Amino acid sequence: MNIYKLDMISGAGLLVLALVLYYLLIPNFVADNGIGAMSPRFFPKLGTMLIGAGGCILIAASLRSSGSPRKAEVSSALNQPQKLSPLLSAAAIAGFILVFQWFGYFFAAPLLIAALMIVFGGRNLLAILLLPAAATAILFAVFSFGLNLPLQ
Amino acid sequence: MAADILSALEMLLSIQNMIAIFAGVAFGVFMGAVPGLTGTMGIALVIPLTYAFEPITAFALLLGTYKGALFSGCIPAILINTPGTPAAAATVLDGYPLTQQGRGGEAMGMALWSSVIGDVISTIALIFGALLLAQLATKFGPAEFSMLVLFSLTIVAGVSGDSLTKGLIAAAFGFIFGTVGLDPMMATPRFTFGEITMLNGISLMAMLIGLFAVSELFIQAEAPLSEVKKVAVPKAKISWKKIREKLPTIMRGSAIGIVLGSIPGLGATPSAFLSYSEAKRASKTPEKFGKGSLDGVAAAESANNATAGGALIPLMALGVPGDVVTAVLLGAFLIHGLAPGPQLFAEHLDLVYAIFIALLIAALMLPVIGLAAIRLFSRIAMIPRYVLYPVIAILCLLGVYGFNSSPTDLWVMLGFGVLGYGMRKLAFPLAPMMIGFVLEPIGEQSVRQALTISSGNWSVFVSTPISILFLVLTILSVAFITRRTINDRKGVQA
Repeated sequence: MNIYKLDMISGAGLLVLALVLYYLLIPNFVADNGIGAMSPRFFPKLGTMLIGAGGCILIAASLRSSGSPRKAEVSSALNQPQKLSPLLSAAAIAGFILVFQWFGYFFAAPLLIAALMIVFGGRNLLAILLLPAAATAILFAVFSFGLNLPLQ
Repeated sequence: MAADILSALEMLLSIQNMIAIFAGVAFGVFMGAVPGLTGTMGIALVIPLTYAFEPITAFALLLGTYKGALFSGCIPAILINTPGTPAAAATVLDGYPLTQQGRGGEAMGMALWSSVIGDVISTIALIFGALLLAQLATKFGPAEFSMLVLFSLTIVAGVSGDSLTKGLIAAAFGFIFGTVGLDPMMATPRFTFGEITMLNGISLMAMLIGLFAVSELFIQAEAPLSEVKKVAVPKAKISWKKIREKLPTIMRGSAIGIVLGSIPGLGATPSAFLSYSEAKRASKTPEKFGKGSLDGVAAAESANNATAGGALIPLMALGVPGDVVTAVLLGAFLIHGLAPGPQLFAEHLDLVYAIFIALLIAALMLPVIGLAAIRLFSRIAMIPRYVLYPVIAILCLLGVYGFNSSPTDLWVMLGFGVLGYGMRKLAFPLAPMMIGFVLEPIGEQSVRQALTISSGNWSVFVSTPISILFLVLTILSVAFITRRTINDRKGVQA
């Protein structure tokens, strides 16, 4: 998909988001207490209007440029083979947060490191077993004793 | 003043602080030397490690990282034709041809010493520039600060990349995220959705690490699996005679770096290219540029490193970031309960002097650490991705958690990581979002204070010469950006 099509979709999405912010989220989640020279809603509304205006400009620019010969691709990375890896990395981090909350650092950290090693192409079983254990222990010592930041 | 300097020396000169500067420069050099890792990411990773430290130790570590990363981008640029940081792109032009000619050691030596000289000169400029500007800034009231923030927002244009519209949209999102929590004047909750943890707003730390480190992790995860190649590293050596010959180029590059670095939105990459083209214009042998000229390396590296001092002038004196890295450093100041600007000079002058001295010490440590890094580069380049990135990921998570011990912050970090990844895929720049987020509370508070003082009269923003000066600068800046955008578009169409 070329960048202009994606810009049009992004612009439309931003416009919808700006409308939701302006008519739904700001009235419901930002109180207007009427005290002082400026409402607490002023800056959120200003940001929202900028997003909406930006969305309109993106749509207009992509409509005007869609026929031009300059059809840049979004990113060469889109065409690279490891398409699932970002998703797997995000899932591994989400998994870490859950395991960390339920079972603590010593369960979560080695699992995350091992999972990410595999996602990033590590295939050496010994390394996948040893590095997470060593890194977990070293980082625990650094944070808990060196920096006085408890991890439990 | 003498008493403040003595107090600063007493504060700074300890084994712990020297180790912090050394470790900061070494870590920065590592981050800059590995393509894919950046100084901004390095500083973001270091901030959580500084929570437990005294402010001076924390800033010794952070500023050391900044300086180390600025320098070491040249190592892969010269040796493997891949700039470690965007600012080292101009160094590739002559550095790599020199390596191909078997003169890589000379190129590395010239890059190192040009960087050190540029760095020292810019730190001296920072000391004088920041002190003068901070004195002027004591005359600033809320109206002047409001106009200063408005002017600072024009830096968004400088860091927006190819599309100013997308930069402005990203900044507007940063602006909205900056309003989350209690509003600064009336403590009215905004976008907290009934969550107590959201009353303090979005954690700067979680946003910063999510946007710059976690999104980079996702981008790197996509890269194809490849074998690590061994790199032959020559010994960095250059004679003093050659350095003396290139001194005019280095001095010119340093001046360009300081001036461009201090202008919001420009920074290291344009400075290096401008210095390179000026050196070529002034050279008696311009035909050698691009084919392996030591002048080219000296020009690019001196300007690149001199931007550090320049960019820190508006940050230290006015509390306004000039580029992405200083925006992250502003975040670090706020996390440590310090607000850079005239107030910092008035209340913590000894700390300000201590930071300046730490910067000079960091510049002097650079040759030692730089030479070691050049020798070790072949090993640094051999670290497998499957070791590097998992360790970075766990550091991000522990750093964010360590700040507030809040699992919510971890989810926020992951959310911003995913958002940052999506933005990069759709070619939206990240830096404007960070700048909008950092400047929103400062700007909102100033605007609302000024309007409260003036009983709602908007003319307060053009009532003093300083406010008018910033308004004129903003208009000129917007006019310049608009003209440049139109010219760029014409260039593309032609």
